[in-house]
Amino acid sequence: MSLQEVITNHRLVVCVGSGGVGKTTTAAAIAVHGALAGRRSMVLTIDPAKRLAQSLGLASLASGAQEINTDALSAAHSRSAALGTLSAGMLDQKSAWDEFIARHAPNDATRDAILRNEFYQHLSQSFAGSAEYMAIEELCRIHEADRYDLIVLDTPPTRHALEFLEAPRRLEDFLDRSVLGWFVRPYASVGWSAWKTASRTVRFLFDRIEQATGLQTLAQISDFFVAMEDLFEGINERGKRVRELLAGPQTAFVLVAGPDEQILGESEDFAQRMGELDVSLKGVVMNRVHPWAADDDAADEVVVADAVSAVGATPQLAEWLVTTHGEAVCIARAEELRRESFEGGLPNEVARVAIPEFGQDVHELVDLAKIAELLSCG
Amino acid sequence: MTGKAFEIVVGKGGVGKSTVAAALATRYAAAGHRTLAVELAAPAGLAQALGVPGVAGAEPRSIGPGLSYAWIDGESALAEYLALILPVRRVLATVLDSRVYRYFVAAAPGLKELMTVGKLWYEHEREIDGAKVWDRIVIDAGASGHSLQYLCMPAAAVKTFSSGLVHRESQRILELLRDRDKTAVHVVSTPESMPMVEAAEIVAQLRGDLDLPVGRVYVNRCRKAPPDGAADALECLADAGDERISGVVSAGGRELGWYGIQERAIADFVRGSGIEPDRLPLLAVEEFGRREVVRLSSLVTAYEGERA
Repeated sequence: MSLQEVITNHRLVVCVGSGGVGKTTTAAAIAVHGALAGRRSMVLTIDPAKRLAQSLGLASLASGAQEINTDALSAAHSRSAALGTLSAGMLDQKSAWDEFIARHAPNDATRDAILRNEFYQHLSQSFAGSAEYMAIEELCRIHEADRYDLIVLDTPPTRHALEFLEAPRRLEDFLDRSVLGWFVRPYASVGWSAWKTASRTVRFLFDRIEQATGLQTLAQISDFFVAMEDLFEGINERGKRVRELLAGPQTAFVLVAGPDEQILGESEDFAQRMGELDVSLKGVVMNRVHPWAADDDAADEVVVADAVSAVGATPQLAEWLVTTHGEAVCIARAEELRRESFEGGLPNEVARVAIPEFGQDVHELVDLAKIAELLSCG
Repeated sequence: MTGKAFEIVVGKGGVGKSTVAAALATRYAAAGHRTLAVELAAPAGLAQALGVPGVAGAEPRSIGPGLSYAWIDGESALAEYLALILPVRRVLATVLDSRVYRYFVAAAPGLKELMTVGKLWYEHEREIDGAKVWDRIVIDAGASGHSLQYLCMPAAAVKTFSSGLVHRESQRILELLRDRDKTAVHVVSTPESMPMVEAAEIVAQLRGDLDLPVGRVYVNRCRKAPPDGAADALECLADAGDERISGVVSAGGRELGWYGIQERAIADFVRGSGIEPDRLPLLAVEEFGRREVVRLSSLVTAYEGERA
């Protein structure tokens, strides 16, 4: 399957990869690709760089999706199919969490008790993993609203791309009903009698935690879990559905990588372990490749010097040209070797595309259309 | 004395943080400081940049004169921490084996990050015979989204845990992190528009909500200035259309383009942040290794010298 087919045949495309590989740009370009093919497309980004956000019309957007004016795409759009629509949204972690709680809370009192809880506020904002959890939750919610034919998710920056897939389950475990007993019984509803019957280890540990964190904290955590009691079932069910959707036939994972040594190492690790997490890798986009000059021979210094003096330029210029060219060849060769070895390790059916280094930043819609065009070449 | 006792290297992914952290650690060790180079979560880029063979064991190990390497992960840091506050081995073993503990460690978001920073603090404080074990700790803190999460944990914990041991310890960690005489957070970037914009955002976050001391801003992989008149000469050469040098001419054109992007991005950054960054050169090599790190470490020194 080519990458174009991967995009065309799926409704959800999740872009994963190490930080700094151009994930956000690639995700936006995939959505543009969808719009150019006549689909109602949407890209959900997490923390876009300012200029890209501007080009997507996200500069002033707090949360929720916004349709982007695609006039600039009309020129690039020469196909027979009508131009689709392009929307973009930025994940606002805090309000996504609040809305999530509001959707699952059985009544206003429960909702407010949770939203006001200090422990909840930290959980939803500062704790590791909660952005990832909400990103996936939002993806599914947008999918269920059924307003788009193609939704592209740009995943949060993580040191190892795999954390994106592991973080939600970590959080889900945290919000597990069985935990309720540990926190709630000793401190709340059932009262201290139950606390006495808890195992010695649990009792000991809670004594310690209490000493370490102060009673107030445990009381807050306890309050939080009490208030959450009615929500657990909904959240668990939700988690199950979300996982099914991610592993389902409508969803494609696309790994965004770069020819850098360290990034390729991480990408290799990622591709390998993806299978263990029940998601299948459908495509690899290799960004910022330097394909040129790789098969150029070393520059002939005499020829360059002659040509340079023929146009009246200095010998320094000739020297600079030869050095610059030599370095470009060296970088391109090294890259080619690394890429070959990385791609050799990928399963055959994974689509792959290389996007050259542009020598300029991408921040206009037409630039994204250019990348979208290159994505079709794979 | 060069540098600070506690140096943290942050930046957007893929800009060469590990390389810069390795170069800094190498420089301090060469200047006679007992230096510990640390990376978080698991051995990765820093181990590679320092040429640490094998990956077993998280304990600091000597890798050269005055230079040690360690990686710190939250789970073992937590176990180690508990060993300090639960001195009875049998009790400790019971706790570590218990389901509640396993659940707590695996599920409690942020706990591992907090423990990681706590362990770093502990290494900084650690003394043998009344003398500090390390003069310099250089931390490769991973991609910015992630590393800022580590750095915001002590403050979050001080707020979350309003009293008790964790509150007190987080407070002490926070004091170290905010101590301008002891700590510096360096930001690494590459000379392109988006990474420089992100570097400016990191600087703003450090100065703002995080309230942590900003150290240096290192712009990695900088290109040399082309000779005067390069643009005109390249145009003439392109017009001349000599097939034999067409590859050379287009390489020159691309270099010129990138240099322009570099200078604009750096100028924008300086205007926005008021910080004049340190430049590190692009090294064109087939394989980036220990030799390149040593080369960069001497350049890092030179840049520091220039400033003083």
